[in-house]
Amino acid sequence: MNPLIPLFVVIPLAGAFLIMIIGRFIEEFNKYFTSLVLLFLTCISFYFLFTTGEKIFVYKVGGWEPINSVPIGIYMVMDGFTVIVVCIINLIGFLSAFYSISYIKRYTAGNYFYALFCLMIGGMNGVVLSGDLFNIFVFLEISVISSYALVAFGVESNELEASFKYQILGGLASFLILFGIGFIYWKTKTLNIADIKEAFSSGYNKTTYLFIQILLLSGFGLKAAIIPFHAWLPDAHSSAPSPISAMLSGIFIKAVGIYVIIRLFFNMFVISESMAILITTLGTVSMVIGVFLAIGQWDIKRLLAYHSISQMGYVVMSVGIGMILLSRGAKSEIASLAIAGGIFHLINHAAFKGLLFLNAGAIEYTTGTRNLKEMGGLAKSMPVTSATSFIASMSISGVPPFNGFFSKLIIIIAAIMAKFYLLALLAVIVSIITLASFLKFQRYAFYNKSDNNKNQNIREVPFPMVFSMVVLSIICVLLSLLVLPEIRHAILTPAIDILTDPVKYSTSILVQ
Amino acid sequence: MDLTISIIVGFMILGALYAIHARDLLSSVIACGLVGYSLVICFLLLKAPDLAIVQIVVDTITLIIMVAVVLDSSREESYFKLDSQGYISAITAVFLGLMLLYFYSVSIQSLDVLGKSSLRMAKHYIEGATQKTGSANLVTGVVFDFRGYDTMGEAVVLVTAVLGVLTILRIKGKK
Amino acid sequence: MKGMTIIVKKTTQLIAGMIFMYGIYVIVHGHLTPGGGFAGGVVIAGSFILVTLSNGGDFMKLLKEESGTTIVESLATILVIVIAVSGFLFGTKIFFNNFLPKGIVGHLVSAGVLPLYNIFVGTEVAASIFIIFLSLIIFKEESKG
Repeated sequence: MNPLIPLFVVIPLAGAFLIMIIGRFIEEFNKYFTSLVLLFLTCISFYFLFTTGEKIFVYKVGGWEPINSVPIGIYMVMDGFTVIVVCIINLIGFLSAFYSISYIKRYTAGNYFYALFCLMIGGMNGVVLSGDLFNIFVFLEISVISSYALVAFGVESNELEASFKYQILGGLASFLILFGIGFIYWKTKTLNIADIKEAFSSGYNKTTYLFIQILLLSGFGLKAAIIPFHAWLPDAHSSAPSPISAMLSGIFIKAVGIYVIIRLFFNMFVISESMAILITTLGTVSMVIGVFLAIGQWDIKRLLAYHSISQMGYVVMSVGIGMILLSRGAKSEIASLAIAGGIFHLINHAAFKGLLFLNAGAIEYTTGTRNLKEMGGLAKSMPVTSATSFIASMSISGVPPFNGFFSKLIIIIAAIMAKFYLLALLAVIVSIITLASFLKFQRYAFYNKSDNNKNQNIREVPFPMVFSMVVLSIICVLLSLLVLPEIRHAILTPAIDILTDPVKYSTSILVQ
Repeated sequence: MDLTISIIVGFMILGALYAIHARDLLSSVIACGLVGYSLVICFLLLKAPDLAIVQIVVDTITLIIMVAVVLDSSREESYFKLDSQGYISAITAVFLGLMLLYFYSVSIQSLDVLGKSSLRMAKHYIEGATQKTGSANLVTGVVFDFRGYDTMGEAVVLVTAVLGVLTILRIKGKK
Repeated sequence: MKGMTIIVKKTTQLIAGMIFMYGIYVIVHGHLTPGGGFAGGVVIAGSFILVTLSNGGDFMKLLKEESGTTIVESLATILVIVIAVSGFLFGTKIFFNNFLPKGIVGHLVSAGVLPLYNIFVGTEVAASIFIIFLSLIIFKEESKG
């Protein structure tokens, strides 16, 4: 048992409470301590990224060994897919925390901000690392409740309203998830994901099984904001402080939404064609409708929030195509390609959407407005923000040298090889509309000449914000290296293997 | 006993419905109390004293806090008249709720009565957990030892909620 | 907020201590009888709330108590985590391990670390519930003045 695995949860939680105690007596303690904690976590997550490979680490909390191969304690599981998500959580978390050092100066109660930030990171790490269904729910609540508070951190009336809407829909989602978990416990009398797979393999009633799947899909779909469950996302993501928007859009909807959906539907349930078609349809609908909702927006952060829905649609659609192919039995290579495209796009989206929200925060920090019509000519006064946001815009629109191009290309190729020509066509069209939308963003924000003299004495943002944006833009360019065979084989292939193999996950956990 | 529990659950549903419809917030809060205390009796009848104790103290404290808040602020609920979109939303919500209820009733038919069949995981808790954890109270043994990690998470959820309340209730957000 | 009549104040003085002691009893005997950290913590918070409600809080004094309660709460939670982590350092070196000797089943000092968990979770729950109550009063008065 690797003793480093529980540190991902323990360190952020302990850090949050240390901030609440020591931060009262020492000024400035909170900001540097948070960055240090997250830097340390990023280092150990990258250590795991390079050492995990095909292995599956299982940590039995409390040292309770299984009896007759039925687990009685809680398991933490680290495998090829987990490690990728853990890496992006801690990396984007570190950069957002570093960015906050100067951004959050304008707000009161910095201690609360950083404590809730650490709790959110700890909750997400707990969700991703957990191998136990109820444990997933507990840590999901930690991260979700802290995000409710962080969305309303500015305590303006519109922010409180967005947070209230988010709380109601989030509460509904938690109810559906808990209901589904209760049903699973009723049916199988166990909570461990691998053991549930074993228990279901001995036979199940079809109606009950379908009901559980629908409950969990709608619960986690609400957290992931797949259309038609998207109503809370544009308000919540646009009214939060910008580093929190980057966290919510960049990693939160992936860690507690998409990751859990993929994990449960590939490794816990038996893949069925009807569910796979449903998931693909939901993904396609979010991809298309999200971009059409985005194109008319003039508020930068709302525009970016709607694009999050659309880009998550790509991920869900591509993973859904993989599920359809797997459920038909044949062509596992094309299925692997589709799932690879989905996971690759998930990683890329974390990088460029995090960067875009940080850019939006920088613009708001200097000009004080989020309306595109009131900006203009910022390219001269804010060169770094302009350059990094250009890289991010080109990445999200899928322009060749950047990372978004390769992941979208893989998704489209997989759709064509699987003979879903309509989906491939839609993916191309949505990509073009995304490009148009981001050209509008670039032109109005950075290149248009502005009439008023208000924008004359604008200067570049302080160092911590510049540092985070530059690092993320470098990551955006470097991530396209993931398409090279050697690197892809080292990082993406273990994740795909664990998802496509129907029994590898459960057997290798229960044997250990 | 099934009949008793059914009657109590019926009371709970009536209390919840009244809590939504009452114009006076104080009577709405007290109707919520009815739901909570009925749940305590259900837990006692189902032989779960630990849950009953937690439920009764939490319900009492919540009731006290809610009554204090309602008495200090306004007792009248602000009332909005439903427009056409509101009616559509209400009808959709009722429809979805009925659909959930229907699928629930269909899908529980194949399941066994909870607690009366062989348990896969909890069997090993019941057999010899006292020796393994050293705790005479089996519930504490399960909550703090076998699933202690979950309990730590729940304690943290409570702290997170408190920090969230303190954050949202600030008067001034920006300097 | 104002206090209540002298009858209520006197009765509260007599009762609050007993409620507090009962909360401590529930927490300490959590591993022997039904109850435990969560239930006992809420009972303790109830005794504090009773005193605050009957005597009425002077607003400035309450503000000080709010910060003290936050510290107690954070400290208690961090101690829970410290005990969990100390499983790493002692015994079989496993996170959340019950590393202390189990003792005789049924005695007050038994069951390894479980009574310690109960005590710290109880402290944390009491502080949390009391802080929610205080913050609802304090911030209301602050917005008036």
